[in-house]
Amino acid sequence: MVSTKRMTRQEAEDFVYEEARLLDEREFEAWLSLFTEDAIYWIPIVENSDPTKQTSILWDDAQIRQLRVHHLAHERNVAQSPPSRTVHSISNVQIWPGVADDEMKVRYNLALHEVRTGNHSQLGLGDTRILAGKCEYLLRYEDRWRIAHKKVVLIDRHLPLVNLSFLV
Amino acid sequence: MTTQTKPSHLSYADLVEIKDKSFRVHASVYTDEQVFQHEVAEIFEKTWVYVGHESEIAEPGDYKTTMIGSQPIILSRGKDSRVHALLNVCRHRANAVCREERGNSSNFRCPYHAWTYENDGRLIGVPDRARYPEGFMTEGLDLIKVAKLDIYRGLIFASLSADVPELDEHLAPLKDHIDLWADRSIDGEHQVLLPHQYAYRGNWKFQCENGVDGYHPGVVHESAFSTFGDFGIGAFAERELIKRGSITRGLPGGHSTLEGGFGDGRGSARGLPARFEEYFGALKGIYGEERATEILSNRHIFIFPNVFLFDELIRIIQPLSLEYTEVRSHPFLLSGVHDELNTRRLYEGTRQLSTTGLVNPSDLEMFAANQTGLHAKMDWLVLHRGIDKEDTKSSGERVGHYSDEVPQRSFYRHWAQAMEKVGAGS
Repeated sequence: MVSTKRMTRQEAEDFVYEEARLLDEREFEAWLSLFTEDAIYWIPIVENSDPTKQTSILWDDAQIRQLRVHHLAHERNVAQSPPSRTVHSISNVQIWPGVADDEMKVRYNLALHEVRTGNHSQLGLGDTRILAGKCEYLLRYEDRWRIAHKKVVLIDRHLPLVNLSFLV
Repeated sequence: MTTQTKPSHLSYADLVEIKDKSFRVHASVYTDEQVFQHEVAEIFEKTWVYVGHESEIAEPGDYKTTMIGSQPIILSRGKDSRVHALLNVCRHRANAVCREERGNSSNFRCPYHAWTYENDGRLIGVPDRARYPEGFMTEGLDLIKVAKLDIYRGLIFASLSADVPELDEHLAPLKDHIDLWADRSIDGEHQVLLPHQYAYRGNWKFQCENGVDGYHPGVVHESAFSTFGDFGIGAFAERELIKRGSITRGLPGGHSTLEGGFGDGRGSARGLPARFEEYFGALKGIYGEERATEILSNRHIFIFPNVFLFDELIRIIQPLSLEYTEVRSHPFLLSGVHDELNTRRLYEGTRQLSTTGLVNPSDLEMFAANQTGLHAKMDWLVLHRGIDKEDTKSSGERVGHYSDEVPQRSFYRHWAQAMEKVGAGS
Protein backbone atom coordinates (compact mmCIF):
# COMPACT_ATOMS: atom_id res chain seq x y z
CA MET A 1 0.00 0.00 0.00
CA VAL A 2 1.32 3.40 -1.03
CA SER A 3 1.33 5.81 1.83
CA THR A 4 -0.26 9.20 1.23
CA LYS A 5 2.23 12.03 0.77
CA ARG A 6 1.06 15.54 1.59
CA MET A 7 2.75 18.91 1.89
CA THR A 8 2.10 21.81 4.22
CA ARG A 9 1.84 25.25 2.67
CA GLN A 10 5.17 26.12 4.24
CA GLU A 11 6.79 23.12 2.56
CA ALA A 12 5.23 24.12 -0.76
CA GLU A 13 6.53 27.67 -0.31
CA ASP A 14 10.02 26.36 0.45
CA PHE A 15 9.85 24.31 -2.73
CA VAL A 16 8.83 27.16 -5.08
CA TYR A 17 11.15 29.67 -3.37
CA GLU A 18 14.02 27.29 -4.00
CA GLU A 19 13.04 26.97 -7.66
CA ALA A 20 12.98 30.78 -7.95
CA ARG A 21 16.42 31.00 -6.35
CA LEU A 22 17.85 28.44 -8.79
CA LEU A 23 16.49 30.43 -11.75
CA ASP A 24 17.68 33.80 -10.48
CA GLU A 25 21.13 32.49 -9.55
CA ARG A 26 21.41 30.69 -12.89
CA GLU A 27 21.75 27.22 -11.40
CA PHE A 28 19.96 25.82 -14.42
CA GLU A 29 21.12 22.19 -14.19
CA ALA A 30 19.76 22.03 -10.65
CA TRP A 31 16.54 23.64 -11.89
CA LEU A 32 16.18 20.90 -14.53
CA SER A 33 16.46 18.24 -11.86
CA LEU A 34 13.35 19.58 -10.10
CA PHE A 35 11.13 18.14 -12.86
CA THR A 36 9.88 14.59 -13.32
CA GLU A 37 10.98 12.88 -16.52
CA ASP A 38 7.50 13.23 -18.08
CA ALA A 39 6.86 16.81 -16.94
CA ILE A 40 5.60 19.49 -19.29
CA TYR A 41 6.34 23.14 -18.72
CA TRP A 42 3.69 25.26 -20.44
CA ILE A 43 3.13 28.99 -20.98
CA PRO A 44 -0.19 29.19 -22.85
CA ILE A 45 -1.68 32.00 -24.88
CA VAL A 46 -5.19 30.65 -24.28
CA GLU A 47 -5.38 29.44 -20.69
CA ASN A 48 -7.38 26.27 -21.16
CA SER A 49 -6.54 25.46 -24.77
CA ASP A 50 -5.19 22.19 -26.14
CA PRO A 51 -1.46 22.85 -26.67
CA THR A 52 -1.36 20.24 -29.45
CA LYS A 53 -3.83 22.33 -31.45
CA GLN A 54 -3.33 25.95 -30.38
CA THR A 55 -0.31 28.27 -30.27
CA SER A 56 1.62 28.45 -26.98
CA ILE A 57 4.29 30.88 -25.81
CA LEU A 58 6.26 27.91 -24.48
CA TRP A 59 5.55 24.21 -24.32
CA ASP A 60 8.58 22.19 -23.20
CA ASP A 61 9.10 18.53 -22.52
CA ALA A 62 12.26 17.22 -20.81
CA GLN A 63 14.34 17.30 -24.00
CA ILE A 64 13.46 20.89 -24.88
CA ARG A 65 14.04 22.04 -21.29
CA GLN A 66 17.54 20.56 -21.53
CA LEU A 67 18.07 22.08 -24.95
CA ARG A 68 16.99 25.48 -23.64
CA VAL A 69 19.44 25.30 -20.72
CA HIS A 70 22.21 24.14 -23.08
CA HIS A 71 21.44 27.11 -25.35
CA LEU A 72 21.51 29.57 -22.42
CA ALA A 73 25.08 28.52 -21.74
CA HIS A 74 26.17 28.87 -25.37
CA GLU A 75 28.73 31.65 -25.79
CA ARG A 76 27.15 32.76 -29.07
CA ASN A 77 23.54 32.94 -27.91
CA VAL A 78 22.87 36.36 -29.43
CA ALA A 79 19.55 36.98 -27.64
CA GLN A 80 21.32 36.53 -24.28
CA SER A 81 24.52 38.41 -25.12
CA PRO A 82 24.63 40.31 -22.82
CA PRO A 83 22.58 38.08 -20.50
CA SER A 84 19.45 38.89 -18.46
CA ARG A 85 19.24 39.28 -14.72
CA THR A 86 16.00 38.18 -13.12
CA VAL A 87 14.18 38.29 -9.81
CA HIS A 88 11.26 35.91 -9.38
CA SER A 89 8.99 37.13 -6.56
CA ILE A 90 6.30 34.81 -5.27
CA SER A 91 3.13 35.63 -3.35
CA ASN A 92 -0.42 34.36 -2.64
CA VAL A 93 0.67 30.74 -2.31
CA GLN A 94 -2.19 28.25 -2.05
CA ILE A 95 -2.12 24.45 -1.98
CA TRP A 96 -4.57 21.61 -2.55
CA PRO A 97 -4.20 17.83 -2.38
CA GLY A 98 -3.80 16.27 -5.80
CA VAL A 99 -6.05 13.54 -7.22
CA ALA A 100 -3.39 10.89 -6.63
CA ASP A 101 -2.15 10.15 -3.11
CA ASP A 102 1.35 11.36 -3.90
CA GLU A 103 0.42 14.61 -5.67
CA MET A 104 -0.12 18.21 -4.56
CA LYS A 105 -1.37 21.25 -6.45
CA VAL A 106 0.32 24.58 -5.79
CA ARG A 107 -0.70 27.97 -7.08
CA TYR A 108 1.01 31.31 -6.59
CA ASN A 109 1.24 34.77 -8.12
CA LEU A 110 4.49 35.60 -9.86
CA ALA A 111 6.08 39.02 -10.34
CA LEU A 112 9.17 38.56 -12.48
CA HIS A 113 11.51 41.50 -12.97
CA GLU A 114 14.05 41.17 -15.75
CA VAL A 115 16.75 43.44 -17.10
CA ARG A 116 19.37 42.89 -19.76
CA THR A 117 22.89 43.78 -18.78
CA GLY A 118 25.26 45.53 -21.20
CA ASN A 119 25.26 49.14 -22.38
CA HIS A 120 21.95 50.44 -21.06
CA SER A 121 21.86 53.34 -23.53
CA GLN A 122 21.39 50.97 -26.45
CA LEU A 123 17.96 50.04 -27.79
CA GLY A 124 16.68 46.76 -26.36
CA LEU A 125 18.98 46.92 -23.33
CA GLY A 126 18.56 48.61 -19.98
CA ASP A 127 14.77 48.43 -19.63
CA THR A 128 13.59 46.68 -16.46
CA ARG A 129 10.61 44.63 -17.55
CA ILE A 130 7.88 43.03 -15.45
CA LEU A 131 6.08 39.81 -16.23
CA ALA A 132 3.12 39.09 -14.00
CA GLY A 133 0.91 36.07 -13.82
CA LYS A 134 -0.18 33.03 -11.89
CA CYS A 135 1.77 29.79 -11.70
CA GLU A 136 0.06 26.45 -11.29
CA TYR A 137 2.02 23.33 -10.40
CA LEU A 138 1.30 19.68 -10.07
CA LEU A 139 3.95 18.30 -7.73
CA ARG A 140 4.52 14.56 -7.43
CA TYR A 141 6.44 12.73 -4.71
CA GLU A 142 9.09 10.44 -6.19
CA ASP A 143 12.35 10.20 -4.23
CA ARG A 144 11.47 13.77 -3.29
CA TRP A 145 8.86 16.31 -4.41
CA ARG A 146 9.21 17.08 -8.10
CA ILE A 147 7.38 19.20 -10.66
CA ALA A 148 5.12 16.99 -12.78
CA HIS A 149 3.47 19.94 -14.54
CA LYS A 150 4.16 23.68 -14.51
CA LYS A 151 1.90 26.25 -16.10
CA VAL A 152 2.54 29.99 -16.12
CA VAL A 153 -0.45 32.10 -17.12
CA LEU A 154 0.80 35.61 -17.85
CA ILE A 155 -1.65 38.52 -17.70
CA ASP A 156 -0.23 39.93 -20.93
CA ARG A 157 -0.14 36.62 -22.80
CA HIS A 158 -2.24 38.11 -25.63
CA LEU A 159 0.24 40.95 -26.26
CA PRO A 160 3.53 41.13 -28.11
CA LEU A 161 6.23 40.00 -25.67
CA VAL A 162 9.83 40.92 -26.23
CA ASN A 163 12.69 38.44 -26.06
CA LEU A 164 11.73 35.87 -23.44
CA SER A 165 15.02 34.08 -24.04
CA PHE A 166 15.68 33.83 -20.28
CA LEU A 167 13.84 31.31 -18.10
CA VAL A 168 10.44 32.55 -16.87
CA MET B 1 17.72 62.29 -30.13
CA THR B 2 18.85 63.37 -33.56
CA THR B 3 19.07 60.69 -36.15
CA GLN B 4 20.14 60.70 -39.74
CA THR B 5 17.71 62.56 -42.03
CA LYS B 6 17.48 62.44 -45.80
CA PRO B 7 20.18 64.66 -47.36
CA SER B 8 18.36 67.49 -49.14
CA HIS B 9 20.17 66.93 -52.44
CA LEU B 10 18.77 63.38 -52.70
CA SER B 11 15.22 62.49 -53.72
CA TYR B 12 13.45 59.69 -51.86
CA ALA B 13 14.14 57.36 -54.76
CA ASP B 14 17.83 58.36 -54.63
CA LEU B 15 18.05 56.79 -51.18
CA VAL B 16 18.51 53.54 -53.06
CA GLU B 17 21.71 53.86 -55.11
CA ILE B 18 22.04 51.21 -57.81
CA LYS B 19 25.20 50.83 -59.87
CA ASP B 20 26.72 48.06 -61.93
CA LYS B 21 28.57 46.39 -59.11
CA SER B 22 27.23 48.15 -56.09
CA PHE B 23 23.85 48.50 -54.40
CA ARG B 24 23.53 50.79 -51.41
CA VAL B 25 20.70 52.16 -49.32
CA HIS B 26 21.03 55.41 -47.42
CA ALA B 27 20.88 55.14 -43.62
CA SER B 28 17.98 57.59 -43.52
CA VAL B 29 15.59 54.95 -44.93
CA TYR B 30 15.65 53.58 -41.36
CA THR B 31 16.01 56.79 -39.37
CA ASP B 32 14.11 59.65 -41.03
CA GLU B 33 10.62 60.35 -39.65
CA GLN B 34 9.55 61.83 -43.00
CA VAL B 35 10.67 58.68 -44.82
CA PHE B 36 8.50 56.64 -42.45
CA GLN B 37 5.45 58.89 -43.00
CA HIS B 38 5.89 58.60 -46.77
CA GLU B 39 6.24 54.82 -46.52
CA VAL B 40 2.89 54.64 -44.76
CA ALA B 41 1.26 56.90 -47.37
CA GLU B 42 3.00 55.69 -50.54
CA ILE B 43 3.45 52.00 -49.78
CA PHE B 44 1.00 50.77 -47.14
CA GLU B 45 -1.92 52.94 -48.29
CA LYS B 46 -1.32 52.36 -52.00
CA THR B 47 -0.81 48.64 -52.41
CA TRP B 48 -2.32 45.30 -51.45
CA VAL B 49 -1.69 44.45 -47.80
CA TYR B 50 -2.35 41.04 -46.23
CA VAL B 51 -5.09 41.42 -43.60
CA GLY B 52 -5.81 37.86 -42.53
CA HIS B 53 -6.65 34.31 -43.47
CA GLU B 54 -10.11 33.02 -44.33
CA SER B 55 -9.89 30.41 -41.57
CA GLU B 56 -9.53 33.16 -38.94
CA ILE B 57 -13.07 34.32 -39.78
CA ALA B 58 -14.49 30.98 -40.83
CA GLU B 59 -18.12 31.42 -39.69
CA PRO B 60 -20.67 34.15 -40.47
CA GLY B 61 -20.29 36.87 -37.81
CA ASP B 62 -16.62 36.08 -37.15
CA TYR B 63 -14.39 39.12 -37.13
CA LYS B 64 -10.88 40.25 -36.28
CA THR B 65 -9.40 43.71 -35.97
CA THR B 66 -6.11 44.56 -37.61
CA MET B 67 -4.28 47.41 -39.33
CA ILE B 68 -3.30 48.51 -42.81
CA GLY B 69 -0.36 50.86 -42.33
CA SER B 70 -1.55 53.09 -39.47
CA GLN B 71 -5.28 52.65 -40.08
CA PRO B 72 -7.46 50.42 -37.87
CA ILE B 73 -9.44 47.82 -39.82
CA ILE B 74 -12.20 45.32 -39.06
CA LEU B 75 -12.17 42.14 -41.10
CA SER B 76 -15.54 40.41 -40.85
CA ARG B 77 -17.65 37.68 -42.40
CA GLY B 78 -21.21 38.76 -43.08
CA LYS B 79 -24.48 36.80 -42.81
CA ASP B 80 -24.07 35.91 -46.47
CA SER B 81 -20.57 34.49 -45.73
CA ARG B 82 -18.87 37.26 -47.71
CA VAL B 83 -15.69 38.80 -46.33
CA HIS B 84 -15.67 42.54 -45.57
CA ALA B 85 -12.82 44.90 -44.73
CA LEU B 86 -14.04 48.05 -42.99
CA LEU B 87 -12.37 51.05 -41.42
CA ASN B 88 -12.84 50.74 -37.66
CA VAL B 89 -14.24 54.25 -37.19
CA CYS B 90 -17.78 55.38 -36.36
CA ARG B 91 -19.21 57.80 -38.93
CA HIS B 92 -20.64 59.94 -36.09
CA ARG B 93 -17.77 61.15 -33.89
CA ALA B 94 -14.99 58.86 -35.09
CA ASN B 95 -14.82 56.39 -32.20
CA ALA B 96 -13.40 52.95 -32.87
CA VAL B 97 -16.56 50.82 -33.06
CA CYS B 98 -14.84 47.53 -32.20
CA ARG B 99 -12.42 47.20 -29.28
CA GLU B 100 -11.90 43.44 -29.33
CA GLU B 101 -9.15 41.55 -31.17
CA ARG B 102 -11.48 38.90 -32.50
CA GLY B 103 -14.92 37.47 -31.89
CA ASN B 104 -18.31 36.79 -33.41
CA SER B 105 -21.05 39.39 -33.70
CA SER B 106 -23.84 40.23 -36.11
CA ASN B 107 -23.20 43.93 -35.59
CA PHE B 108 -20.78 46.52 -34.24
CA ARG B 109 -22.27 48.99 -31.75
CA CYS B 110 -20.22 52.10 -31.21
CA PRO B 111 -19.45 52.25 -27.46
CA TYR B 112 -19.77 56.06 -27.41
CA HIS B 113 -23.33 56.88 -28.65
CA ALA B 114 -24.50 53.43 -29.80
CA TRP B 115 -24.63 54.02 -33.51
CA THR B 116 -24.92 50.43 -34.69
CA TYR B 117 -23.65 48.83 -37.86
CA GLU B 118 -24.36 45.44 -39.42
CA ASN B 119 -21.13 43.42 -39.69
CA ASP B 120 -21.05 44.19 -43.42
CA GLY B 121 -20.76 47.88 -42.48
CA ARG B 122 -24.37 49.07 -43.06
CA LEU B 123 -25.61 51.62 -40.48
CA ILE B 124 -28.72 50.04 -38.92
CA GLY B 125 -29.34 52.05 -35.77
CA VAL B 126 -29.06 55.64 -34.51
CA PRO B 127 -30.52 56.18 -30.98
CA ASP B 128 -32.95 59.11 -30.47
CA ARG B 129 -32.99 59.74 -34.14
CA ALA B 130 -35.80 62.30 -33.79
CA ARG B 131 -33.35 64.78 -32.27
CA TYR B 132 -31.61 65.10 -35.62
CA PRO B 133 -33.04 67.72 -38.00
CA GLU B 134 -35.91 66.73 -40.21
CA GLY B 135 -34.65 64.97 -43.29
CA PHE B 136 -31.57 63.54 -41.51
CA MET B 137 -30.42 60.78 -43.78
CA THR B 138 -28.37 57.85 -42.64
CA GLU B 139 -27.52 56.91 -46.21
CA GLY B 140 -23.85 57.38 -46.88
CA LEU B 141 -23.01 56.92 -43.19
CA ASP B 142 -22.13 53.23 -43.35
CA LEU B 143 -18.71 52.13 -42.10
CA ILE B 144 -16.18 52.96 -44.80
CA LYS B 145 -15.22 49.96 -46.85
CA VAL B 146 -11.57 49.40 -47.67
CA ALA B 147 -11.38 50.17 -51.40
CA LYS B 148 -10.39 46.70 -52.62
CA LEU B 149 -10.51 43.22 -51.17
CA ASP B 150 -9.56 39.93 -52.76
CA ILE B 151 -8.55 36.45 -51.66
CA TYR B 152 -5.94 34.05 -53.04
CA ARG B 153 -5.65 30.50 -51.64
CA GLY B 154 -7.29 31.61 -48.38
CA LEU B 155 -5.01 34.65 -48.00
CA ILE B 156 -7.08 37.84 -47.71
CA PHE B 157 -5.56 41.03 -49.07
CA ALA B 158 -7.02 44.54 -49.02
CA SER B 159 -6.01 47.86 -50.50
CA LEU B 160 -6.94 51.30 -49.16
CA SER B 161 -6.44 52.65 -52.67
CA ALA B 162 -8.76 51.70 -55.54
CA ASP B 163 -5.98 52.61 -57.96
CA VAL B 164 -4.03 49.35 -57.77
CA PRO B 165 -3.63 46.48 -60.23
CA GLU B 166 -5.81 43.43 -59.55
CA LEU B 167 -4.52 41.12 -56.78
CA ASP B 168 -3.78 38.46 -59.41
CA GLU B 169 -1.40 40.85 -61.09
CA HIS B 170 0.19 41.96 -57.81
CA LEU B 171 0.87 38.34 -56.84
CA ALA B 172 1.69 37.07 -60.36
CA PRO B 173 5.48 36.77 -59.86
CA LEU B 174 4.88 34.73 -56.69
CA LYS B 175 1.90 32.60 -57.61
CA ASP B 176 3.85 29.41 -58.33
CA HIS B 177 5.52 29.73 -54.93
CA ILE B 178 2.29 30.46 -53.08
CA ASP B 179 0.69 27.45 -54.77
CA LEU B 180 3.56 25.20 -53.64
CA TRP B 181 3.15 26.57 -50.12
CA ALA B 182 -0.62 26.05 -50.10
CA ASP B 183 -0.43 22.58 -51.66
CA ARG B 184 1.31 21.25 -48.54
CA SER B 185 -2.19 20.84 -47.24
CA ILE B 186 -3.55 17.61 -48.71
CA ASP B 187 -6.94 19.11 -49.53
CA GLY B 188 -5.82 22.73 -49.74
CA GLU B 189 -7.32 23.95 -46.45
CA HIS B 190 -5.35 25.68 -43.68
CA GLN B 191 -6.38 26.46 -40.14
CA VAL B 192 -4.56 29.58 -39.05
CA LEU B 193 -4.03 29.78 -35.27
CA LEU B 194 -3.37 32.62 -32.83
CA PRO B 195 -0.07 34.37 -33.47
CA HIS B 196 3.22 34.32 -31.64
CA GLN B 197 3.64 38.04 -31.06
CA TYR B 198 6.78 40.04 -30.54
CA ALA B 199 7.97 43.60 -30.84
CA TYR B 200 11.34 45.22 -31.33
CA ARG B 201 12.92 48.65 -31.04
CA GLY B 202 13.81 49.00 -34.68
CA ASN B 203 12.55 49.84 -38.14
CA TRP B 204 9.99 47.54 -39.82
CA LYS B 205 12.17 46.87 -42.86
CA PHE B 206 14.78 44.98 -40.81
CA GLN B 207 12.36 42.09 -40.35
CA CYS B 208 11.34 42.19 -44.03
CA GLU B 209 14.99 41.95 -45.09
CA ASN B 210 15.91 39.37 -42.48
CA GLY B 211 13.31 36.70 -43.28
CA VAL B 212 14.83 36.17 -46.73
CA ASP B 213 18.44 36.73 -45.67
CA GLY B 214 20.43 33.52 -46.00
CA TYR B 215 23.69 35.20 -44.93
CA HIS B 216 22.87 35.67 -41.24
CA PRO B 217 21.58 32.27 -40.00
CA GLY B 218 25.03 30.68 -39.71
CA VAL B 219 26.04 33.60 -37.49
CA VAL B 220 23.00 34.81 -35.56
CA HIS B 221 21.56 31.32 -35.15
CA GLU B 222 24.83 29.42 -34.78
CA SER B 223 24.06 28.80 -31.10
CA ALA B 224 20.57 27.47 -31.87
CA PHE B 225 21.65 25.25 -34.76
CA SER B 226 24.62 23.84 -32.89
CA THR B 227 22.36 23.18 -29.88
CA PHE B 228 19.84 21.34 -32.06
CA GLY B 229 22.79 19.47 -33.57
CA ASP B 230 24.14 18.50 -30.15
CA PHE B 231 20.76 17.00 -29.35
CA GLY B 232 20.64 15.13 -32.63
CA ILE B 233 17.63 16.98 -34.02
CA GLY B 234 19.00 18.46 -37.19
CA ALA B 235 21.98 20.62 -37.99
CA PHE B 236 22.45 23.63 -40.20
CA ALA B 237 25.48 24.31 -42.35
CA GLU B 238 25.40 27.39 -44.55
CA ARG B 239 28.05 26.00 -46.90
CA GLU B 240 26.09 22.79 -47.33
CA LEU B 241 23.03 24.79 -48.34
CA ILE B 242 25.03 26.69 -50.94
CA LYS B 243 26.72 23.51 -52.20
CA ARG B 244 23.47 21.75 -52.78
CA GLY B 245 22.04 24.67 -54.68
CA SER B 246 19.90 26.52 -52.17
CA ILE B 247 18.96 29.89 -53.59
CA THR B 248 17.67 33.39 -53.12
CA ARG B 249 15.22 34.76 -55.63
CA GLY B 250 14.33 38.41 -56.23
CA LEU B 251 11.08 39.04 -58.07
CA PRO B 252 9.44 42.04 -59.70
CA GLY B 253 7.12 43.90 -57.33
CA GLY B 254 9.52 43.72 -54.38
CA HIS B 255 8.67 40.09 -53.66
CA SER B 256 11.30 37.43 -53.02
CA THR B 257 12.07 33.94 -51.76
CA LEU B 258 14.77 32.13 -49.81
CA GLU B 259 14.72 28.48 -50.83
CA GLY B 260 16.59 25.87 -48.79
CA GLY B 261 15.52 22.91 -50.89
CA PHE B 262 14.28 19.48 -49.93
CA GLY B 263 15.62 17.92 -46.75
CA ASP B 264 15.35 20.90 -44.45
CA GLY B 265 11.69 21.68 -44.84
CA ARG B 266 10.20 18.21 -44.84
CA GLY B 267 7.05 19.55 -43.23
CA SER B 268 8.81 19.59 -39.86
CA ALA B 269 8.65 15.84 -39.76
CA ARG B 270 12.07 15.18 -38.32
CA GLY B 271 11.59 12.71 -35.52
CA LEU B 272 8.35 11.43 -37.08
CA PRO B 273 9.78 9.57 -40.10
CA ALA B 274 6.87 7.15 -40.48
CA ARG B 275 4.30 9.97 -40.42
CA PHE B 276 6.44 11.92 -42.85
CA GLU B 277 6.63 9.04 -45.34
CA GLU B 278 2.84 8.65 -45.11
CA TYR B 279 2.38 12.37 -45.79
CA PHE B 280 4.98 12.50 -48.57
CA GLY B 281 3.34 9.40 -50.07
CA ALA B 282 -0.07 11.11 -50.11
CA LEU B 283 1.39 14.17 -51.85
CA LYS B 284 3.21 11.95 -54.37
CA GLY B 285 -0.11 10.23 -55.06
CA ILE B 286 -1.71 13.55 -55.93
CA TYR B 287 1.14 15.42 -57.63
CA GLY B 288 3.84 12.88 -58.52
CA GLU B 289 7.25 12.66 -56.88
CA GLU B 290 8.86 15.67 -58.50
CA ARG B 291 6.21 18.19 -57.52
CA ALA B 292 5.67 16.57 -54.12
CA THR B 293 9.39 17.05 -53.45
CA GLU B 294 9.13 20.67 -54.53
CA ILE B 295 6.06 21.20 -52.32
CA LEU B 296 7.91 19.92 -49.26
CA SER B 297 11.07 21.90 -49.93
CA ASN B 298 11.99 24.60 -47.42
CA ARG B 299 10.86 27.98 -48.71
CA HIS B 300 10.50 31.46 -47.24
CA ILE B 301 8.15 33.57 -49.36
CA PHE B 302 8.14 37.34 -48.91
CA ILE B 303 5.11 39.22 -50.25
CA PHE B 304 5.77 42.95 -50.55
CA PRO B 305 5.45 44.99 -48.42
CA ASN B 306 5.15 43.09 -45.12
CA VAL B 307 4.14 39.43 -45.05
CA PHE B 308 6.01 36.13 -45.10
CA LEU B 309 4.77 32.64 -45.80
CA PHE B 310 7.02 30.19 -43.96
CA ASP B 311 6.86 26.40 -43.75
CA GLU B 312 5.03 26.49 -40.42
CA LEU B 313 3.66 30.00 -40.09
CA ILE B 314 2.44 33.22 -41.68
CA ARG B 315 4.32 36.28 -40.42
CA ILE B 316 2.97 39.83 -40.54
CA ILE B 317 5.20 42.82 -39.90
CA GLN B 318 3.36 45.82 -38.47
CA PRO B 319 5.22 49.13 -38.40
CA LEU B 320 4.03 51.24 -35.46
CA SER B 321 6.61 54.00 -35.64
CA LEU B 322 9.98 54.69 -37.18
CA GLU B 323 11.79 52.72 -34.48
CA TYR B 324 9.12 50.36 -33.16
CA THR B 325 7.68 47.33 -34.92
CA GLU B 326 5.33 44.52 -33.94
CA VAL B 327 5.45 41.09 -35.54
CA ARG B 328 2.73 38.46 -35.55
CA SER B 329 3.61 34.92 -36.57
CA HIS B 330 0.55 32.73 -37.03
CA PRO B 331 1.16 28.96 -36.99
CA PHE B 332 -1.24 27.04 -39.19
CA LEU B 333 -2.47 23.46 -39.27
CA LEU B 334 -2.65 21.54 -42.52
CA SER B 335 -5.77 19.61 -43.42
CA GLY B 336 -5.72 15.98 -44.47
CA VAL B 337 -2.54 15.22 -42.53
CA HIS B 338 -2.15 13.23 -39.31
CA ASP B 339 -2.69 15.18 -36.06
CA GLU B 340 0.75 14.12 -34.84
CA LEU B 341 2.37 15.83 -37.80
CA ASN B 342 0.46 19.07 -37.22
CA THR B 343 1.33 18.97 -33.53
CA ARG B 344 5.01 18.50 -34.41
CA ARG B 345 4.89 21.47 -36.77
CA LEU B 346 3.27 23.59 -34.05
CA TYR B 347 5.81 22.41 -31.49
CA GLU B 348 8.83 23.14 -33.73
CA GLY B 349 7.42 26.57 -34.50
CA THR B 350 7.18 27.30 -30.77
CA ARG B 351 10.66 26.13 -29.83
CA GLN B 352 12.24 28.03 -32.72
CA LEU B 353 10.10 31.03 -33.56
CA SER B 354 8.01 32.00 -30.54
CA THR B 355 9.18 34.84 -28.30
CA THR B 356 10.74 32.12 -26.11
CA GLY B 357 12.17 30.29 -29.14
CA LEU B 358 15.82 29.50 -29.70
CA VAL B 359 15.91 31.24 -33.08
CA ASN B 360 13.62 34.25 -33.30
CA PRO B 361 14.66 36.35 -30.27
CA SER B 362 18.19 36.50 -31.67
CA ASP B 363 16.91 38.13 -34.85
CA LEU B 364 14.99 40.72 -32.84
CA GLU B 365 18.14 41.44 -30.84
CA MET B 366 19.91 42.20 -34.12
CA PHE B 367 17.17 44.64 -35.20
CA ALA B 368 17.55 46.67 -31.98
CA ALA B 369 21.33 46.58 -32.42
CA ASN B 370 20.87 47.66 -36.03
CA GLN B 371 18.74 50.66 -35.05
CA THR B 372 21.26 51.51 -32.32
CA GLY B 373 24.09 51.38 -34.85
CA LEU B 374 22.21 53.74 -37.12
CA HIS B 375 22.28 56.42 -34.42
CA ALA B 376 25.89 56.78 -35.53
CA LYS B 377 25.87 58.93 -38.63
CA MET B 378 27.16 56.63 -41.31
CA ASP B 379 25.78 57.37 -44.78
CA TRP B 380 25.33 54.18 -46.74
CA LEU B 381 24.59 50.49 -46.07
CA VAL B 382 25.98 47.93 -48.47
CA LEU B 383 23.67 45.38 -50.11
CA HIS B 384 25.70 44.15 -53.06
CA ARG B 385 26.57 40.63 -51.98
CA GLY B 386 26.37 38.47 -55.12
CA ILE B 387 25.38 41.38 -57.39
CA ASP B 388 27.73 40.42 -60.25
CA LYS B 389 26.92 36.72 -59.96
CA GLU B 390 23.13 36.74 -59.98
CA ASP B 391 21.27 35.23 -62.88
CA THR B 392 18.81 37.75 -64.35
CA LYS B 393 15.94 36.30 -66.37
CA SER B 394 13.89 38.09 -69.02
CA SER B 395 10.93 38.26 -66.60
CA GLY B 396 13.04 40.43 -64.31
CA GLU B 397 13.47 37.56 -61.85
CA ARG B 398 16.98 37.33 -60.40
CA VAL B 399 18.44 34.23 -58.80
CA GLY B 400 21.47 34.07 -56.53
CA HIS B 401 23.15 31.79 -54.04
CA TYR B 402 21.50 31.15 -50.69
CA SER B 403 23.51 33.84 -48.93
CA ASP B 404 23.32 36.55 -51.63
CA GLU B 405 21.41 39.79 -51.01
CA VAL B 406 19.15 39.28 -54.02
CA PRO B 407 15.85 39.57 -52.06
CA GLN B 408 16.94 42.75 -50.28
CA ARG B 409 17.82 44.38 -53.61
CA SER B 410 14.45 43.35 -55.02
CA PHE B 411 12.74 44.95 -52.01
CA TYR B 412 14.58 48.24 -52.37
CA ARG B 413 14.20 48.45 -56.16
CA HIS B 414 10.45 48.34 -55.66
CA TRP B 415 10.60 50.56 -52.57
CA ALA B 416 12.41 53.25 -54.60
CA GLN B 417 9.77 53.04 -57.33
CA ALA B 418 6.97 53.52 -54.81
CA MET B 419 8.79 56.41 -53.09
CA GLU B 420 9.64 58.08 -56.40
CA LYS B 421 6.08 59.46 -56.44
CA VAL B 422 6.80 61.57 -53.38
CA GLY B 423 9.07 63.76 -55.44
CA ALA B 424 12.43 65.27 -54.67
CA GLY B 425 11.17 68.41 -52.95
CA SER B 426 8.98 66.78 -50.28
